[in-house]
Amino acid sequence: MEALPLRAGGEMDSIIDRYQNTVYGLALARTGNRADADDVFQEVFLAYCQCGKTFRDEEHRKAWLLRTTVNQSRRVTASTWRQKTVPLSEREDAPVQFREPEENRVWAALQELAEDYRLPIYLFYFQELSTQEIAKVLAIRPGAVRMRLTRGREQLRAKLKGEFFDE
Amino acid sequence: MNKELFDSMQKQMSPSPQVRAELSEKLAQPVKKRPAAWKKYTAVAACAALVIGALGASRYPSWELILQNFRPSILETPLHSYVTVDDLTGYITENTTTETGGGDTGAIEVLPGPNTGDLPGGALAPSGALPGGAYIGDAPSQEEAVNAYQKLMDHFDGDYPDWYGGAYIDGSGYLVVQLVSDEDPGDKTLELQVLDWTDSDHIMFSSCKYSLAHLNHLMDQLNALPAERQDCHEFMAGWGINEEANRIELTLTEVNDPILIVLAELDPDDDAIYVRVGQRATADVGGEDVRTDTAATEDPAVHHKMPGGVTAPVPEDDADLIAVEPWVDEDLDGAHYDIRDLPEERKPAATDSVPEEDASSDTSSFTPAYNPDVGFIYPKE
Repeated sequence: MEALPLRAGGEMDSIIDRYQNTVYGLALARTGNRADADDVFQEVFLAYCQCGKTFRDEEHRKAWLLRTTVNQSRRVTASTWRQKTVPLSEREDAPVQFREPEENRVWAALQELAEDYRLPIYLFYFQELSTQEIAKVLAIRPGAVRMRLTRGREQLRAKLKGEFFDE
Repeated sequence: MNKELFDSMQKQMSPSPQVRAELSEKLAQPVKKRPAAWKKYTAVAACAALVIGALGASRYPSWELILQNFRPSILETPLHSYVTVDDLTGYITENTTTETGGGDTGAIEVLPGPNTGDLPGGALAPSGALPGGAYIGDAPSQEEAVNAYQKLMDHFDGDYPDWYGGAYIDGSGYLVVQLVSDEDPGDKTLELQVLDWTDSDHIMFSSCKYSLAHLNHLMDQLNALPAERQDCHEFMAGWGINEEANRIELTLTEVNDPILIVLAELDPDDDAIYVRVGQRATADVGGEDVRTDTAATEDPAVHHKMPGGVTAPVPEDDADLIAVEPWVDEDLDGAHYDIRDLPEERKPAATDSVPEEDASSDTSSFTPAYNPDVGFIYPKE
């Protein structure tokens, strides 16, 4: 992996290339639609460019980006304007479409989970973060992460009727 | 869980090229820093003040008055501090009534000091004779300190050095010599020199900020102030050097900005001149608060009860009820007079107020006539 400057603001294209899927995926899982995810994606990297922060290592930088993504997603979905407006086009509120049908099923089942369970599941299975890292990103205790993972997995298994589970 | 499925989904969760292009375009623009919060609030407050000032000044005369009286030069000019007293009765301390070694007492110099009987004619003490208002006759134990003070003055010969801040006799009869604070507290050269000059063991030393020469210079400026400025002349009641406090004490009958500005220029540190402001004493007569009509024109200093002085009776033609220090007649100073020159004492007339009675009915002093042949002869009733 190419070494990137730890100070925010430099080599932005390389930084975006490396972390765009991570940020965008979390924003999509949190907001549930691409329009909001696009906004969050741009806001996160603009904030990163302007923060002037120097990170200790890549893990620190990744954790900062994920945490900022969660905050920006919460700000977008909780805004009064968004809650009191109706989208003009169906595209803005259209569900995310994947290429394979089973992918759409899993995504739909994931979106039906409560937010408290959805984000740990996504970060654990899609981003492959440890419970410690998830705890830092979501600002909760690792025990709570494990509890939410267990309950979220049970709900997901019930929704998918046991499919796509290797365990 | 199916890892391949999740990896495939994760790869599809990427931003569109349009969103990425927009982000690159935004990042290429110069960063706009948010204005500091205090700048925003300051700008809002300034705009509000301008609007209120403009609207208020056009509608209300009070705003016009405020804006007319707004003098930046006054606001930016420092004013001397002052203390307010209820009235001026007894405001002159003993130190200021007696001329000290400084030899300058300003307007207070016109005041007659209390008649101690030591000086003929009620004259003021000679310059340098009695430091700090001490009287030889009143305090014999201070004699040695006074002698030391005289020796010290003889060495100075009227020209005070910069290190000398004045002297006074404390309650224990010691002469306290004030030395201007030196940067080197371990240097005892001045103390040894003063001890050598005075040759007395009744000497103590104290540190002060201002030299007596500096205070004298300030006194000269204060003395010239009434003649130079009419606005100061009207309100300056008395001033003099208090060597013990190492400052000049100035009493004003009224305070105003111009005189405080002048004093602030003379005393930038605000501690060389102690300014007191007060009204003249008032008395309740017939339930009314009587205030003198000439309070602003007379020198109020002559109307105050002096320390050790006697309150003089109020003249019939003077409605001022303030206690008056009597001017002492040179011929009747209490110490040097000839009893023959005294006005004839008016003896009380015991019968002045007794109504006249018929002398025939008065038998209290009757003595019957005595005839040796007849005996006592009583009048016939």
